Amino acid sequence: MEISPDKPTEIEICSASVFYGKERILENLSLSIKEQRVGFIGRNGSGKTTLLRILAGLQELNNGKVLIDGTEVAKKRNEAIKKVGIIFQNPDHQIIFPTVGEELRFGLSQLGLSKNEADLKVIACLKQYDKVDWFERSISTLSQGQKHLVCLLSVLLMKPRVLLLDEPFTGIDIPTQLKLEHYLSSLKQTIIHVSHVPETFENYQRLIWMDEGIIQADGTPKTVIEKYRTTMKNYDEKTI
Amino acid sequence: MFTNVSSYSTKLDGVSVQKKIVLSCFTAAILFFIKNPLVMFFIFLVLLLIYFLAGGLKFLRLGLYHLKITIPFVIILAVWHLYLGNLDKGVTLIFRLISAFLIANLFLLTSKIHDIILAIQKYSFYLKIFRINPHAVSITLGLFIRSIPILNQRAKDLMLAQSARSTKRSFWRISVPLALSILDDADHVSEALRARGGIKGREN
Amino acid sequence: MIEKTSVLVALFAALIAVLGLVPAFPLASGVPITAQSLGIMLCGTILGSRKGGLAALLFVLLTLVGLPLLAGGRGGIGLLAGASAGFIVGFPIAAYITGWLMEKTKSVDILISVALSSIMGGIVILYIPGLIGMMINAGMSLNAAIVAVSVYLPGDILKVILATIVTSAIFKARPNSVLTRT
Repeated sequence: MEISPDKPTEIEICSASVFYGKERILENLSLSIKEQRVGFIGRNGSGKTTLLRILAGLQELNNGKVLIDGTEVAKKRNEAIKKVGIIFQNPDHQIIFPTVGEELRFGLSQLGLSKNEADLKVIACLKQYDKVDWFERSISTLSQGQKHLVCLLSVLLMKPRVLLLDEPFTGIDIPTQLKLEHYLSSLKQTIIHVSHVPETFENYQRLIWMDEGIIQADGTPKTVIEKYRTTMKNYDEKTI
Repeated sequence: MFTNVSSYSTKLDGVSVQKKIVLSCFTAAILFFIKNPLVMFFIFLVLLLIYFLAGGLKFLRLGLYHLKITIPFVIILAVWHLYLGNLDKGVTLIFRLISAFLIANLFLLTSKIHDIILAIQKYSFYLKIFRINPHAVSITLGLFIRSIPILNQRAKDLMLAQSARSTKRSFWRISVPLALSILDDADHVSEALRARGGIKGREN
Repeated sequence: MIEKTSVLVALFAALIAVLGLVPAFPLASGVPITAQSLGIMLCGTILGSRKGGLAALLFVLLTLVGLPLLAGGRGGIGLLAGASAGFIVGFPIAAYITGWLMEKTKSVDILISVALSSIMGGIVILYIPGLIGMMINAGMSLNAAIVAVSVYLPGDILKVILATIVTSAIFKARPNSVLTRT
């Protein structure tokens, strides 16, 4: 994908709060991101998935706002889908259409391309990944890892400036994971990656540790992972 | 699951799916207006001839083979009308049933399911005359086709998980988790749909 | 939200199809019953009249066009000349009425509301087109048709019980998902 941002994408989260009823998910969170590879780590229920949803503009904020290159993603949806793409944990939750071609075409037609224009781009993209024969293929004949790749391609075709990943490597084997990581590392987009596996972030520029909707640590992966590990160990000793 | 049923190539394979849909619906509808047993039987013979001309003896045999699902009802009809002594009516109804299936199967055996779905998707666009959002229809259709193998696999997995812990295999035990998982899916899928721009146009 | 509506309609239509793939279990009467009409009832009890009716309609239309979705891998316009033609055509109406009754009995205890709605929608209302279809396609009198369709009754009563169990279990687990109760 030949996206080369002349200037880095700027993501601003301004005092964002999210509540589900009385439950506090995120409270008064402010963050500014300019790095190209940023990770979020935390336990289940730490608020990191909600954070990803507000970045994608899918979750209404009770307070505050989220700007990607100046666009308020929750309000201006037509602009937002050009700025930010998200890949969910389970490809079966993301793929809408029965064949690869239709699925890849969908995002492009959402951007206003005609069927023919979209098909040309889809075929070019499949060619680039050496998967031309996939166009007619039924999604149900693909392996789990291949479905992940379809999700990735369908989002990349829309050329977003920011790519959000929600634990995209759950349930796939190590060779497939390495291959997907290889695809991801070659991308020029800003990638924001949520996971609870510390090793994922070794080559990232910045890592943020969240717990109970609040930032616990923010810095280079090395320092943050160390803090995270020590604290998790302490939790362990207290609870068992 | 949706593979082409017939492996024989016939002369009707190349005819467009749209034409075949319209033609088969039209002829099947005509069957309901025919009350004369002889005419009905004649139509049955004509259909057999069409099978033969389209794909030869083998294809005719395939067509007859696919009539097997009508057998129980044919027997009921035969017994019932023999009992009533109303043979004319019995013959009419039996050959109407068989001919309707011959017509439907002729279409299905000479068309790829994938082409049928494409045709439906293409023509569902005209639903906008009835103020139905065509974009919503095409997404709903695609998602429906896509979900069947997924849900089928999940039902099988749940059955397996159940028989791993119990000697009984009963369907009702998996129906609750299956339905719950579908509602979960619905949340995720509609969110993923919105993430890529959602459904265009006004509410349908 | 239109996205949620589309997705629910598609997934529940697929649920009806998948319930047809579950192996049919023969009842004491010897008549094999499939879980497919359970899917119709659930469309009504969970999704309500409009969405439930649409899901059943989607399923029926695609079956009649030719997708082999009906129990036993049947599909196609030929079904309209068969024994269950009336039932197939009646599916969307049954789902709609079941959902409509659920919406009218919101304040009643859920078990009673579901049982009542699915008996009315899934049996009483569904059997009207079912009987008409039988009379037209088998040339039977009304009385004979009633005897003929009564073989389905034990299975359908079982499905009402199942629909009640499933709907109330879902209401307990995820109250907001039972749209007829929100």
